[in-house]
Amino acid sequence: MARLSRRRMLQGTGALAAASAVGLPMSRSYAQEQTIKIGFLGPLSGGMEVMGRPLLTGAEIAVNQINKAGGVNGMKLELVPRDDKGTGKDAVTGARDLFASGVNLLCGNISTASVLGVSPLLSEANATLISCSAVADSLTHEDFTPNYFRICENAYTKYRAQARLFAERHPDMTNWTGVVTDAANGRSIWTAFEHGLREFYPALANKEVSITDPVVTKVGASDFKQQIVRLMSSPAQCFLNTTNGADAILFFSQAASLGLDSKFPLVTDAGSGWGVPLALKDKIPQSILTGVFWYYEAYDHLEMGRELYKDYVDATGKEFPDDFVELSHAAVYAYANAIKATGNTDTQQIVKAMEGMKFQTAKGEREFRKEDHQCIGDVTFLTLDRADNERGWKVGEFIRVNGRDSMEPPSPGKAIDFSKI
Amino acid sequence: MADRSVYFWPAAGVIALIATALAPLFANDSVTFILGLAMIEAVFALSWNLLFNYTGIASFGHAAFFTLGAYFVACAQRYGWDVTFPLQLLVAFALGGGAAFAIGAVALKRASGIHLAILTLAIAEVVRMVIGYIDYVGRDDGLGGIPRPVVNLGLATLDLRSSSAYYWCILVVCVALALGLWWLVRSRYGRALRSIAEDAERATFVGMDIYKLRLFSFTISGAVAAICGGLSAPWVQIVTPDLSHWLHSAQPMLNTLLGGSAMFWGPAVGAFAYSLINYSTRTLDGVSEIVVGGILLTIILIAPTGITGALESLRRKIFQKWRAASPWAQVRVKGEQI
Repeated sequence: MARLSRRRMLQGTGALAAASAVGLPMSRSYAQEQTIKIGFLGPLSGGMEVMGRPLLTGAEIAVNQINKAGGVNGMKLELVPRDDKGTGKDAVTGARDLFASGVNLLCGNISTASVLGVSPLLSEANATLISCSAVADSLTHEDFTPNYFRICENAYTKYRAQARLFAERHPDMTNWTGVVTDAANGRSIWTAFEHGLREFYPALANKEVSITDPVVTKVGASDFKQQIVRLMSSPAQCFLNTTNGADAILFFSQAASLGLDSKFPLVTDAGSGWGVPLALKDKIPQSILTGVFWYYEAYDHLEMGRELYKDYVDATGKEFPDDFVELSHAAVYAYANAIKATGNTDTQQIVKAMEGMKFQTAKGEREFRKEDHQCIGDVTFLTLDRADNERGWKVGEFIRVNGRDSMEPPSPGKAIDFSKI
Repeated sequence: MADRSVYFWPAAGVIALIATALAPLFANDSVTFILGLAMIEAVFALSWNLLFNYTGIASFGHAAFFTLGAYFVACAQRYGWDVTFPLQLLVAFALGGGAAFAIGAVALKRASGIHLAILTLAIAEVVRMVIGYIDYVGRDDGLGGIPRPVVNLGLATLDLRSSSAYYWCILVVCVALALGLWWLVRSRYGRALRSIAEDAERATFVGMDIYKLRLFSFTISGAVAAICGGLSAPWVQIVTPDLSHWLHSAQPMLNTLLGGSAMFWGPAVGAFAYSLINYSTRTLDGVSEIVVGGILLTIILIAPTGITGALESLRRKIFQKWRAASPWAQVRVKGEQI
């Protein structure tokens, strides 16, 4: 066997570094000719990768579908992905790299922290960003910037609707608490949900609701036993969980081991895609009502929905497309529609075109609200029940709510004043 | 004939400095941004090496001081405090130095070696967690949208809002800090610190107050780290509690290992090398960390003395061969024979 000498090893390392420095041979290339570049920023490593990977897949599918159909105004799209690791600093580094590569149309971003990092840079860089699943209300209110758009519903819309569902369907479940991540999205979700409970239980169930202070946890926590024990000893009948990704997997796994199920036969979850139930298997709670951004079976009456599902299965070989797939898919289509309308990729024209723009997606029609760039569309939920099958659970019911009916009035630059609603 | 090989490192330094200074004129914004970060990380690593190599103290929580400086400047810029930017940096310097003095005054008396390292690590984690509970600084999400400064100099205004202007500001401050540290390690204090690092007992025996000297080094090191943090906040335009994460504390150690701890500029070379490797692998979405780790491991295994150590060996070999081959060497040999 040939011996690996130190010199050869050094040469090999040098070659690897040089190849990486050039970037071309090892990076993905989506097109060779003149193309319209769309930057993708999302967590492709770390604890949020479980959500970031499907997000990238969705954007790739959209780019391929559009290119297969002839591109936009005769030009092909090219996706330029960067890993933001779900953190503000890495998002800024990735965004600056994309700007320097001449990319002015960005999409992706799961975490609110990433958007908070990138959003203030957009005007100076003359770029736009469509974030996919950052739900914190502040992004389209007090932290609003003119070049930023949001393709998913915000916390106010989604989690007040979730609270309303409980008031309508479980009027006797009047004692609540939560497991809330100590981050902007977690706090936003809880504020909206709590506000919804306090409004809808008296209005719809004719009952007062009792809310115990939520158990607060940190993003990326390595242990949830303390939080679970506090939940076990709380007087609540039900709780809302806002942990997501790897955190949610760990939380529910530990909860199953500690017997949280016996106290809470039904729980509700802010939602973090199929990755969590697929990983949990039979450690999933007995019954869970979870927020989803998209459920493929519910939209198979739409051609775009069917196409997205088919292309996802072809691309990955998996039967459950994560709901994040649809968000980035819709973001790329939003850009494609805007470029088609303006005939170019000039940032200011794209921003103008997207304000108030209605466009078709795999989840039906969406619209960017002109005033604050918040997307208006369906708000969807799903129930999952533990089952004696290979997966360990089955899909129960799909629930669709009209997002337009649950939205707050736009107030870009100003925080939502819950006291006035 | 004079030994020309002694000019190798100064010449390399001047060329590197000129290339770094001219970068905004030739490189794109992304490369300039990475270079700006590399300069800050380079001085941060030098400040850590002042403790490690020159004083014999291992700190695993050096990022705590960086974080203090970063958050102070971030708040001052974001909330428009009436403090000019140079004063902000000076206050960051004082804050970092003050915190390091307070911690060092207790810790250096009671702990040393691995115990001190773990203690500093715990302090950095406490800083990270405390920030995570403060609304004013954005809790775990951090403080974003930090504007870059405009400095009013009385007769003129120094506008540092553009990337290139702020880049040159970073360059000037980092060069000043690095030269300050370089001067320090060559001064009387520097020699005293080295003697502690080499043999603390013997230093005590000859009458040195090693506690005071260690505290002095700890304070200066913390102050420089804080000013690095202060410089980074308007550059990155976001600060998060992760600045105080142990991974950030490990960064100067990694840079020192990579660049070599024996030479003063080793950690700075390591910081630039690390940034280059990181930047080169940015398109390998999802596996860049594995590749970066592999490359670092390989380099450290091949060159245990770091890049500067390897280059120094190479320099000696080349100049020895060159001297042996030069006609002057022949004359010298002949002369010696005669």
